[in-house]
Amino acid sequence: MFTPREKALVELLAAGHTDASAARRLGLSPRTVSYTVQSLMDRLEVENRFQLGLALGMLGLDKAMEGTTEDAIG
Amino acid sequence: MPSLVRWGVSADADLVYRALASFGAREAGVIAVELGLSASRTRQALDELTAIGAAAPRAAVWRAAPPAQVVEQVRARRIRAQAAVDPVARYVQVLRDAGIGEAASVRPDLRVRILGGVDATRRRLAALADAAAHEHLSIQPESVHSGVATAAAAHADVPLLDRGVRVATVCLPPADGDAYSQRMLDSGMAARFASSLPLKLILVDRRHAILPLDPLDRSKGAIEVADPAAVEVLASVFRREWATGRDPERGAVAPIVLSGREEDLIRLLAAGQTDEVAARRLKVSPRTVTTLVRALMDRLGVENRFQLGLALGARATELPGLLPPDRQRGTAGIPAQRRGSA
Repeated sequence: MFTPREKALVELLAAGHTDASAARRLGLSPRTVSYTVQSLMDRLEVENRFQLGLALGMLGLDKAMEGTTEDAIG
Repeated sequence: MPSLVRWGVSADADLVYRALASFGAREAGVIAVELGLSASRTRQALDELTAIGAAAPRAAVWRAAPPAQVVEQVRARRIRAQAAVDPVARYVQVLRDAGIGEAASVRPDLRVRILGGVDATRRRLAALADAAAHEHLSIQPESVHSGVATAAAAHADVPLLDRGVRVATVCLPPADGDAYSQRMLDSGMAARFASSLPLKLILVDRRHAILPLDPLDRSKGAIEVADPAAVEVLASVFRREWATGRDPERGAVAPIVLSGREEDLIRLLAAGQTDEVAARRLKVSPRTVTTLVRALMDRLGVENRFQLGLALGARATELPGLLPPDRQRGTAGIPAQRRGSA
């Protein structure tokens, strides 16, 4: 289950954005971006970004990202 | 006076609308006082009514649109909103847009007919495919898990492609990954992948459209539509799904072969080891680890480790035993029902 913010952020990072450029794109502070990534890593029980990528890649990024929490409510 | 609340209109807006419709046109300030609403809530309610076409101001005086018209508008809006999330509602909406719907069996003028049962549907689809002159489009919302079904579908498409018929399909991303999509693409069929599709639909030469009679029960058969306007609406449904689908040629996952040393390194990093620990384990310098990772990133055309993880994760099936077993299943932190529902 991913929030719309997590989804947007992962899409940008997957497209090669740095934290800083993703933060600018999303109108978030760099701190919020690193917090968001950290909370994703905690939830997927991984310790670094390489593992985060692996976990999402194995799930299939599209599949992993479909169904944000907003969708789930509707 | 019908309640608008059941069609998704807020209670405030409903109240203001009733007041306007019952007591006649008034200024916003007067409405607020009469209904005991704050100015801002009144303003919000009026904004909402304006947005749904239920009220409009003229020289600061607000008037209500006729109730019957408003109810029809909010009802249609509600159905559209539901259609966005509910496949059955989407199906009904597609039929309604095409002007068929429940009228199908009683509107011969629309050139609609019912194909009763799976066999009749299959025979008709085969006949239409045989007769197809230039185009065969389909939306396939059913997941293709069975290799047999895939092979059968591929065989059916080959004669079409051989005759120069353009075959295009929008379907769910294939469950068995590259093999299936590659077979499809190799056969010359164009495909787009989407994770949610409104209905099964087949369009032949933009003259015949076939869609299920009941979106939840294929055994009931299908509806064939030959009315040009209705077919055009259905073709626009296809075009919309096509336009928003993922192009497998662009998102294609190219195969990768790792050297023994790369495999060892990835295995360590996948287990959560740092570069330093991995270097010690492999008896190489940390700089060599960095170089190996950099070379791998270059080969995969990615710029950071997150992307490297994504790229390798997407190829997990080609790299057996490389990734830790708990990750191999891709289960970490994702509740079972979420995975199942995808």
